[in-house]
Amino acid sequence: MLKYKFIQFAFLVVFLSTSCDSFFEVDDREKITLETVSASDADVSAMWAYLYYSFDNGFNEISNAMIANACDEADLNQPFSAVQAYNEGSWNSKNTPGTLYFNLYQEIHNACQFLSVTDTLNDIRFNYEEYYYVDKPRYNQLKWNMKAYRMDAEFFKAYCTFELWKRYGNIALVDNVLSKSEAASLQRSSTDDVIAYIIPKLDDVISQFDELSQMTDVEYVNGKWSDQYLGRITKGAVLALKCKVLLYAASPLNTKSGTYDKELCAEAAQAAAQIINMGLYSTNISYREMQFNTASSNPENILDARVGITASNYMEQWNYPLGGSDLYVNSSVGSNATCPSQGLVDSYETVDGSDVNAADPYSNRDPRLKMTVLCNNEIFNEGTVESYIGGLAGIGEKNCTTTGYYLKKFIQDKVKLPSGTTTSHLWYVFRYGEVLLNYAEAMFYAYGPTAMQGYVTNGSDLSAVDAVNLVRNRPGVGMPALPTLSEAQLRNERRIELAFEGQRFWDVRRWKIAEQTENSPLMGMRITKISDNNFSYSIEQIETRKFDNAMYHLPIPYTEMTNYPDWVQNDGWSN
Amino acid sequence: MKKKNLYIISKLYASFLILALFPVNEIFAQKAEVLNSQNDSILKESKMIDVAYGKQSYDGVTSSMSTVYSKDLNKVTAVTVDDALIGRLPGLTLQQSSGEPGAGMGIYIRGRNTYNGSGPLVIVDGFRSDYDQLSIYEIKSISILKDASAVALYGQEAANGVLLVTTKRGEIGETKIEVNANFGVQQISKKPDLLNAKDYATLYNQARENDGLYEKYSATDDIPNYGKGGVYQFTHPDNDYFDECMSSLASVATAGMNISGGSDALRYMVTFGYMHNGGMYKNTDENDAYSTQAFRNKYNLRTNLDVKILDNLTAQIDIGGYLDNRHYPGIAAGNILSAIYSTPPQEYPIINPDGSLGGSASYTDNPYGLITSKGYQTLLSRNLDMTLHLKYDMGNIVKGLALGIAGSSQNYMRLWDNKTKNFATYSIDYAPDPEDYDPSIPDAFAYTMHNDDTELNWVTAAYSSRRMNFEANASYDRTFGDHSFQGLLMYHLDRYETSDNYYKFSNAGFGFRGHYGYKSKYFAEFTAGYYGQEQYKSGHRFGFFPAGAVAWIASKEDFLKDNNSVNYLKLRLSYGIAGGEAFGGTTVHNRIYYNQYYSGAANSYFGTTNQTAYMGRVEGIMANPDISWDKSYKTDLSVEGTFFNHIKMMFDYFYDRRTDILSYDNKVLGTIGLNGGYNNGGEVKNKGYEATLSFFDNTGDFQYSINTGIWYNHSEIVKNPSATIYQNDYRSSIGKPVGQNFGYVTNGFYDAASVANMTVIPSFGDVQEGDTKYEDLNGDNVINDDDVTSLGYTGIPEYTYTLGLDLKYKKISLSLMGQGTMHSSYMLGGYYIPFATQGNAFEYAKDSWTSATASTAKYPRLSSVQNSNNNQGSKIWLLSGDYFRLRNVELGYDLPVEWASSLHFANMKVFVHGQNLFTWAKDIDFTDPETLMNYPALKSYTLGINLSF
Repeated sequence: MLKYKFIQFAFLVVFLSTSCDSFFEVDDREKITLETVSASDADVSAMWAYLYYSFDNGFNEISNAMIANACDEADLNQPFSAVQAYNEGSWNSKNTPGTLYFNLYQEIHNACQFLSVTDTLNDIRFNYEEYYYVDKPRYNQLKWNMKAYRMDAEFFKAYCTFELWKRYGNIALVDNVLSKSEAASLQRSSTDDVIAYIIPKLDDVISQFDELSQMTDVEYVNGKWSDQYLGRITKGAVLALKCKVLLYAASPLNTKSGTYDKELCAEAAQAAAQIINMGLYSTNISYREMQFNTASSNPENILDARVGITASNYMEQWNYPLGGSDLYVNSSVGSNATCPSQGLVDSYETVDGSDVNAADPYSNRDPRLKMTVLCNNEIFNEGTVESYIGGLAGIGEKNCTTTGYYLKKFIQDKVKLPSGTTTSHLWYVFRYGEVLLNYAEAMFYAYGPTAMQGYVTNGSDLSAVDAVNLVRNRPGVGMPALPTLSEAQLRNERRIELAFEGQRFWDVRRWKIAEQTENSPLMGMRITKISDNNFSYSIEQIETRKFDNAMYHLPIPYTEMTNYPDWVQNDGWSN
Repeated sequence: MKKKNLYIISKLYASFLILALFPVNEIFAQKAEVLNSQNDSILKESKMIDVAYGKQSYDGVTSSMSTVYSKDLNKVTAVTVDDALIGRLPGLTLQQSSGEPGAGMGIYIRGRNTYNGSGPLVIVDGFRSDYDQLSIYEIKSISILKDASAVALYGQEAANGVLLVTTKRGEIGETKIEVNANFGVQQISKKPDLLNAKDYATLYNQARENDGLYEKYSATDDIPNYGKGGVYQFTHPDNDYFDECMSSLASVATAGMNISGGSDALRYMVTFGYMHNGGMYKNTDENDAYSTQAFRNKYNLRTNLDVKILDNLTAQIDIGGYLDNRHYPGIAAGNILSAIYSTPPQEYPIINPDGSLGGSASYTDNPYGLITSKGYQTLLSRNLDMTLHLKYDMGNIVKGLALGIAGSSQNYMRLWDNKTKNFATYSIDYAPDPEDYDPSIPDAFAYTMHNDDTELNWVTAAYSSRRMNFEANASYDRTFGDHSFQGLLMYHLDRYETSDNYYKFSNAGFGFRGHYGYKSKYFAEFTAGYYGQEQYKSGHRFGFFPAGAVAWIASKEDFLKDNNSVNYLKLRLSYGIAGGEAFGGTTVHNRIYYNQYYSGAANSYFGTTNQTAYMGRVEGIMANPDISWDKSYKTDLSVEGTFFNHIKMMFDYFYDRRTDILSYDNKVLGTIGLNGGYNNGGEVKNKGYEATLSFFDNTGDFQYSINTGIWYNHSEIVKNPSATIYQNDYRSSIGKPVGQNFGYVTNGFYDAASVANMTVIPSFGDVQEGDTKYEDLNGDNVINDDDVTSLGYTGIPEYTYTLGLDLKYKKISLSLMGQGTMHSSYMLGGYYIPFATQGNAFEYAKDSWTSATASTAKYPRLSSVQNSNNNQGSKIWLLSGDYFRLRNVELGYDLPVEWASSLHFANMKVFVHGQNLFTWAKDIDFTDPETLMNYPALKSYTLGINLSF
C-alpha cells in the first residue's frame, strides 16, 4: 500500500512540474461559488429561503433577550446580559447590543444578489423553457415560484430598509449589489426619500400578487398560501408593512412639525382598511390561543417568523418560575427570565373600572393581564408560582424574578422540561390586532376618535374607537367597549394588547414619550406571605433607568462612521 | 535593549549568585559535553547537530537554535513531552492550563509575533507531524529553530519558529538493551481556597445587606449549625466539594525499552514506550461495571532501521506508532470543576440520608454525582507513521555529491466512544427536628426530585487524518584544504487530508542551502525556500524566503588560541525572511479567501405542523484575490563562549518585524452587505533575547554545574486592521503587546461623601458606598468604555527564567531545576468575583469592603445581585501571573559496576524524581497559578530505575 502511494506521489511530482496549479486546486466538491450556486435550482431556492431569515425571532432579539427588557415593559433577571446596557444608559455607537445595522444591509444585499442571479429578463434559464414540453407541472411550479421568489426579494429590500430607518433614522439606500466604490460614495437619505423609496416598491409587489394568483397551478389562492407554504409573504403582509411604514412616518418623532402628519395618517388608515377589507383576518380567537396557534386557522396571523415554529423549549427554560413538581430541571430554569414590570401590570384596567384592590391586586383585571404576566400564587404548569419573598421563585433568589412577576405571554405551560418536550412558538411579524390598532391610531390623528371616512367597505365602517373596541372585545377578553377614545387610552390599549411583541420599545420612541417612560425607575412588587393565600404587597424600585434624547435613534455603528468620514452621526451621539 | 531589562538581568544574576541556586540550562550542559569532547575523535558523531534537512558541525552552525537531548528529557517523569521541555530550551515558553490526563500545553517560540495563531511548525524526522504523542524514550533530541536562517527551508509556515524532533537510531555494535522505568504518585499541587459554609453564609448575608435585601441565612438558626453533626449534616451541611471530589492520589508510570545495535549493513533501534497517567477524581468505583476515573494509557512502538543496500545506496526505514487510550467521567472536567466552584458549600448534603444524591432547584449539578453518575467517556487515538529515506552516494562520479528521495505517510484515527447518562438529585423538603433525629430511620425525611435518572446512552464519533510527504534532494559536502562547502537542493511536497471534508492541505516547493567554511573558523551560509500553498490564488501562490548568516569562531584566531581565560568564543549574525501561514482553518470557508464562496446558512421554515425546512445559502465573507502569506523579517545576533574552563555563557538577541499579517478588515463598508474580508494589513514587532550563564567542573569525583537562564520577548502591534479604532491611544490595542490586558484604572471606593457629590458619573448604573471608583481618563465626567486603558501585561509571560544545579559525587547525582515567569497578568472575572455567578467564593472575598474596613479593603463591597460597576475589568481584579516552580528534582545513584555486572547489566542507576514540589506565586496564591480553576496542576513523586545490558 505504502509503495503504491509512493508511486502515486512520484506521478504527482511529475505532474507538478508540468502543471503546478492542479496540485493546489480546491477539490471540486468543496467549491460552492456563485457559478455553482446559480446553476442549481436547489441552491437558488436556498438563497431565497435565507431571505426569510430576516424575520428575526424576537424571543432572543438582543443577546438572547427580548427587546421588552430594554424598555419599560420588563427587566431581564440576568445582570450580565448585554441588554442591560439600554437600561443603564451605557450603550453607544461602539456598543449597541442587538444592533442589526450590518445584518440588515447584508439582508438587503442578499435580496439584491438573488434578484441579480435570477434575472429572468436576461437569463433565459429562469424561464424554464426546457421543461415546457417535457414536464408541464414542474414548469408551472418553477414559473410561479420564481415569480413569488422575486416578489419576496423586493419585499425584503423594503422591509429591511424600513427596519434600518426605524433604528437609525436617515440611512443610505441600497437597491443593487454594490461595488466597493459605489458603496463608498453613498450618502444618507432623508426620511422623505426613504418613504418615497419604500412605498412604490411595496405598491408594485402588492399589484403583482394579483398576477401571481392568476398563474397556473399556483398555491397562492385568495390571498393565502396553501398550508404547505404557510409563512410566505402575502398581499396582506405587504399591506401591513405599508401601513406600518406610513404610520411610523406620520408619528411625531419622524415629522418635521413634531406632531402627527394627518395626510400620512390618512394613507396609513387606507392601507389598514385594505387589509380589513380583504376579509381574511379577524380577532375571533382567544388572546391566549392567539399566542400559539401556528395553523392557517389562526385568523390573527398575517405573517409570523417561521423560525419560531421549530419546536424548542428554551423560552420555557429561561422563563419558567422555579416551583411545582416537574418544574425543577436544572440550573438553566429561570436563567434568562424576562420579568414584567409593575408599570406594565398597572396599565391593565379593572374590569368594572373600579380601583385596584390593594389586598388582591390581580383580581378583577383585564383578562389579558393573566394571559401575559404570571403573578404570585397563580397555578402554572401544575405548580403554584411562589414569587413572594422567600418563596421558591421569590425575588432575589438565584434564577428568579427581579420584579415579582414572570412572563406568561408566548410561554407554553404544556412543556415538560424534565422529559425535554418541546413545542412550536409563534413570533408575529404582523398580526391583525396590530393592524386594527394602527388603523385606530391613524384614524384618531387624521380625523378624531369617532369619525369614519368610508375606508372600510367590508362590513360596517370603522372609526378609531370602533377598531379599538374590536380588539377589546375578542373571545376570552370581553373588556367593555369604550364610548370614545383619548390619546392615553389609545396608547394604553396598544401597550397592553401588543405587550412583549417587540412594539413598545419603538412606540415610545416614535411617540416621543421615551424621555418620560424610559427615564423613570423600573418598579416591581415586593410580596410578603402572611399565611396561605394571604399576602401583603408593596411596590418597590427595582432599578433606575437612563434615557437621553439621543436614544430616540440608535447611533450609526462607530466602525461605519469611520468608513464614511463625511457622514454626520445621529443627534446627541458623540461619535 | 532597554535599560530596565539589563537591570532586571543584572539583578537576577546577582540574586542567583547569592542564593547559589541556579537553573539548569540543559542545552548548556549538553554543549559543554560537546565542547569538552572537541578533540575526542570517537565522539565526532555527537558533534553533529540536527538542523533543517541535515546535520552540521557545532562550530559550523550559523543559525539560532537550542537543543535538548534525551539524557535531560529523562530527568523528568514526563506524562507529556511538554512536561520534559519546560525550562529546557531558551526561547521556549510553555503554558499549562490543565493538569488533566492528556491535556496539552500552549507552546510559543520567542513569544508571539502575530495576533493570529502562534504555534510553531513541528517537524519529526524531517516531516511535518505531531510531537506530543511520542514516547519520551524514542526521542533523541528536540530543538527549537528560532531565526530566519534556521527555518527558511520550511517556507510559508515557519515564521512562528520550528520545533524539530529527532528520534533515536541504532549504532554499530553489539545489541544494547536499555530499560527505563518510573512509577509513583501524583498529588494536587495547590488546593483552591474556597469558603466554608459559615464564611459563605456570613459573607453572602453581608452581600445581601449591601444590596438592601433581607438576610438569607439566619445568624441564630443557620450559621451556628453548619458542620454540626446529627440531622444538621443534612439540613446544614458544610461541604468541601473539592476534597470530596478531587484530592486523592493518582498513579503515574512511564517505562521504555530501547533495543539497538547492528552492523555496517544494518543498524536498528526498536523502542517500546509505555505511559500511564491516572486521574485525581474520588469515588470513581461506585458503578459495578465500569470506572469513571480519568486516566490515560499510551503505548508507543518504533522501529528505525538503517540499511546499506548497496555500497553507495543506503536506506532509512522507520515505522512508529502509538495507541493512546483515554478515559474520562461522563462529563468534561470543566463542568465538574465548575460545579465544585459554583455550588455554595451549604446548598445541600452531597448524599442524602437515604443514600440518594443531594440537589436543589437552583443547583442540580451535584459535583459528586457528576463524577459518579454521568457514565464515562473514552477517547481512543491511533497513529502509524511510516518513513522511507533513500540516499545514493554519487561519490564515484562527483566526489561529495549524494542524491536522496524520501517519502512518509502518517495515518491518524481517533474515536470518541461515550456512554453517558443523567442522574436525579433530591432536595430535602422535610427533615425531623434535631431532638427527634434517629439516624436509623432514613425515611424520616421527605424529598423533591430534580432531573431524571437515565440509562447509559451510547454515542461514538470518529475522525481520521492522513498526511503524505515526498522529498527529493541533492546534497554536496566536500572540503578543499581550508575551504569547506556544503550544499543542499531539495524539493518537498506535502499533502494532508482529514475525514471532516474534501479539503486538501497542499504545500510544495524548493529549498536551497549553501554553506561555506574557511579554516573552520569563518562560516557563511545562504538559505532560501521557494514554496507554495493551496490557500492562495494561482499566480500568488509561491513565496521566496531567503536568509543569510555568518559565524566566527574567534577563539580559533591566533590571538586567542592559547588564551587560558577564553576557551571558546563564537559570534553569529543572521538576517532573513520567514513565511507565516495565513489561515489555520480547515475548510474553504476559513482557509480560502481568494475566492468568493457560499456557505450553507440557517434553515427557514414554511408550512404548519409538519413544517418544511428550507436550507439557506449565503455568501461567505468577502473574497480578496490578493491574499498572501505573512512575512517575518528576522534579525538575530549572538555570542557564546567558555571562559576559565569553568564558565559558559550565551547571549542571543533578536528583532523580528512581521508584516502583511492576515487580518479581518473591520473597516469594510457595512452598506455593501457582505461580511468584512481579509487583507494583509497587520504588522507586529517582537524583540528580546535569551541569555544563559553556567559554572561547571566535570573533572574529578565531585562534578557540578550551576546553570541560569533567562529569556525575554516583548511584542508590539504596529498595525492591525481588525483592531477597533479609538480616539485615545491608551484605549487602542495598537502600540501594545499582542494579548495586552485592558481595564479601568481604579481610585479606591466610594464613600458617603463621594456618593453624595458625584461629578463623574459611571455608566453602569447607580453606585453606593463601597463600590469601585474609576478614573475618568478622558475627562468627560462619564466613566465608560472610553476610559478603559491597558493594564499590566499579556497572559503569556515576557520573562521565563530557570535556576538549576547538577551535582555528582562519585556514584551519587543530584539535579534540581526550577523555572519561573515574570510579566504576565491575569484579569479576574466571572466566578472569581465573589458571588458574581451565584457560586462559592474564594477566601479573598473576606477582603471586600465593609463600612468598618473601608480604608483597608482590597475589593469592592460584596454584592448578591447585578453589580456591573464593580465587576468591570479593572486594576482591582488584575493579578500578576508571576510564579516560580521547582520543576524537577532527581536524586540518582549509579550502582557499582560489579553489582550490575553480576546481574548481567552494564549499567544500573536508581533514582527518585520529584516534580513541582514547590510553587511560589506572587498574586495567584488562592489556587494554582498556572491552571487556576481548570483541572489542577499536579506534583509527582516517582521512583525509577535505568538499566542497560
